Amino acid sequence: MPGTLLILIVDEEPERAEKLKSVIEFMDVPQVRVAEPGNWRSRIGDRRLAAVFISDALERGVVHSVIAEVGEHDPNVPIVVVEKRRDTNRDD
Amino acid sequence: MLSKAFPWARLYTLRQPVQFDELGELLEEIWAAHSPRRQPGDAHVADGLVGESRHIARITTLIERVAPSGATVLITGESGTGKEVVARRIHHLSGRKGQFVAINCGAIPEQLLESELFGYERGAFTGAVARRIGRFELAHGGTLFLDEIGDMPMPMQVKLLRVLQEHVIERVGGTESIEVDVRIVAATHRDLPRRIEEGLFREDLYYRLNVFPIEIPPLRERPEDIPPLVHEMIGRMHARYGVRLHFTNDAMAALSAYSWPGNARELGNFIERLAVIRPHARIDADALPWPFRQDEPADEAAAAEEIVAPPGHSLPAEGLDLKAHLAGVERDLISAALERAGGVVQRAADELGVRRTTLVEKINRYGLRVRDAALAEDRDE
Repeated sequence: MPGTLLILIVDEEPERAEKLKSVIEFMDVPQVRVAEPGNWRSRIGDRRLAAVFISDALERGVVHSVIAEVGEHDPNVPIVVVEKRRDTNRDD
Repeated sequence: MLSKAFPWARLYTLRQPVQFDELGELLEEIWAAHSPRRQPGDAHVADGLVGESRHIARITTLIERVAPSGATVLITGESGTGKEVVARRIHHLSGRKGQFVAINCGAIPEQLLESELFGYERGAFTGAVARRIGRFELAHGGTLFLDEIGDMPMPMQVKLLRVLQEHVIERVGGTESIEVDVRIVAATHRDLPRRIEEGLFREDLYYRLNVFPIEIPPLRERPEDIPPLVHEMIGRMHARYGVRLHFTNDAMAALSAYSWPGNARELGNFIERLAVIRPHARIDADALPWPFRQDEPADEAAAAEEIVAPPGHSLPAEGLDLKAHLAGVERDLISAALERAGGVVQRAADELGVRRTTLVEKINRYGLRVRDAALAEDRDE
């Protein structure tokens, strides 16, 4: 896998984002960072993005705005929309 | 809904709770989306063209001569011959500081191609919720690779010609003329003079693009390049999957005698398929599928089945659940590796060419029993 690329998780809920980060890292992805919708640009620095995971639990307008910003940054970056969790009882 | 609002975006969905299989497939797709778009400096680009033929030597010389000049280059050759590799090499050696940006002019609908190339202003059309720059602006100071230029629709050819003449673009829905400093490298598998005769390609655009032509011969005309290409691919498979393949001399001779109608891309796909279905195998000529064996009749149906299945595996008449089948194969191989490693997970992981953490996850997923002490040690680390 391209080792220098960064996977970015954009979410306002730190615990939820860190949990997803752990899962992605468990899949042998070495470079994963968490950011909030308002600070994702500063969180990546000059790194190239492999993909942006964005939580569908964010407000619709925020999701749209982040996708548009990522498109301006690099339209080739895959954007993964992480669905809202439906099963709230399990904690896996 | 998001795909309507952002038609340009590469959108994926990840369901909750996250399933490892699903996430694994998604990550594979993400890496695949990046692999053809690697930046100059990555190993396979820096290594340049692979091959020992006089054709490759000539192309390498042409690239070195044209790269620093900034001249527009037209690369021609059959599909799979490595036109993008040549384009990236030209950019790499050009000294230009900007990005290498690629676009496949034949794969994007005409309506989208204009906004992809030139960008658009907010409100230019339904769904244009924000301004977006196009490939020309992205490539400012760098190189724009126009792949499959022979398939570009005529109306776009007119617009492209104007940019090549004036070095300015206008975003869709915009009025501002934006100067761009972009080096153009175009490529096609089409016979452009014939396309001109057929009225499908503009003659004036052809002459604008054909400043410095580079033709890449098909692989069948340079069989001496096949062994180095095979070795290159074996190295890549080792880096990507941790798999080691070995071809006997007879097998290599059979591969060299094959015509490879899909050229280097077909060869690469073939090696990758072998790496997946026969990891760590020593491949001799008899183990190759039909197209590589001269002594058997051309039964296309049998050949199609054989090329996707190694000896010992066949597709049942009633079909199968591929995921479940592959999971079963994986489970069996992990069991065998653990057995051979005496239950030592690290040793089994080395045998399988995977990381220990990956193997532990798979052991848990398949509910395999390992020597308790060995796995406990792995879990504790």
